[in-house]
Amino acid sequence: MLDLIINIVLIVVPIMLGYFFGRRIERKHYDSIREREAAFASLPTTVLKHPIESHNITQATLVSGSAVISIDYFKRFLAGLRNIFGGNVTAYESLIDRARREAILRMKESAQGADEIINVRIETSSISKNSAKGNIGSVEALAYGTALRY
Amino acid sequence: MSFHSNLPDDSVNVTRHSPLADAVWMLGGLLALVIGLYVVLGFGMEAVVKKISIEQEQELFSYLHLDALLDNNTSTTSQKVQHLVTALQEQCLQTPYRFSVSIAEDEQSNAFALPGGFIVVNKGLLDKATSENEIVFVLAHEIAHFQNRDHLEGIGRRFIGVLLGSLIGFSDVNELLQTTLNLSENRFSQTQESEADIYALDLMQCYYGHVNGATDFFKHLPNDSGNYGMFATHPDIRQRVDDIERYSAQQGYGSEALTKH
Repeated sequence: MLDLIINIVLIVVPIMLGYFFGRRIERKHYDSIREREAAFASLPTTVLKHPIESHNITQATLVSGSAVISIDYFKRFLAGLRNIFGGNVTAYESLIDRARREAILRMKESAQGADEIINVRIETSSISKNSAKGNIGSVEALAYGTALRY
Repeated sequence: MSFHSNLPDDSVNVTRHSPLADAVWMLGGLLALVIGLYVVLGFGMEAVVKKISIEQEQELFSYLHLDALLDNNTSTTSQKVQHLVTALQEQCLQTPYRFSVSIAEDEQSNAFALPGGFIVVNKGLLDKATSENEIVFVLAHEIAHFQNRDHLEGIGRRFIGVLLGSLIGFSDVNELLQTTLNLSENRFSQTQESEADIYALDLMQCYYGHVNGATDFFKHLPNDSGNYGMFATHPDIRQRVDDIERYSAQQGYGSEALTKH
């Protein structure tokens, strides 16, 4: 009986901790993302090959930003259930969204003094692939582009 | 072309609904599905188990070579217990089983029924026993499990549980499932234990002509074991003792001097 209780506790507690802490951290992260996005909104950032308007370019630098975000126990649990039923893995959506937006923000932060960032690309890769075997997986987003100074 | 500053659209890439509700729905659905399957397969398995004859059982499980794993009846103690079983069978039982007794080096007061007619008795039980009657009650209780095919059902249920678990594959959910199944399994085996107690009393009455010493075994169990209500494997010890006494009184089973062991 005691081992039964321990068993339940060992399963349920990490999932609950994952839910509460994961939610808290995610909310705080989104607050920070939105605030910084507003602050950087005036810096033109595009996927175009050329600047929006023609300028005399004095400097062009490669800028990049990357972010690694980990899943939590609750998200893993939810995604595991999804693996059985199929459908959108909504548990991971916010993870990818945060990683990409954070990566773009870091790229903008690294482009201090730039007038425009062009040719922006985003790449995503997963770190520790066998999350099904009990490892906790994380996602990395890398954003890079060319920062221009007029 | 001119630049308009705008913020990223927050609403498209992340689905806005409660992940908790999602989890509850999926987990609830999965557990309901699996428990449903478990019940259906369980009934099917019971029907199959009832059709397996004792000869088939002995042949089927002879491939496991349990006899090679167990103690080979060489010690005088195990020969004595084996002798008791044989005497009990000759005097009071019509069954094609060839029961084989082994002693396990375990201090816990316990005994087990394994498929193929193997009865494993822990050394601790024999050491603590105050009379032969007490040992005969335990042996008769295990024989009852064989006669009621409980041991095969137990193995069958375990097998179905593992099978369903491997279908799910996902470790967290699987562990939750096994825990749930364990609970229902325990509830199920309580009934089997009570039935086995009654069967054992009938055998004791046949063998000795009285049932004195039947409840002595329970005195040697640690106080905390089995005290978890509906989740315990063996019904509450007090409850079992009460049931045994009530049944003995109903049947008019007497109480005479104990036989030494």
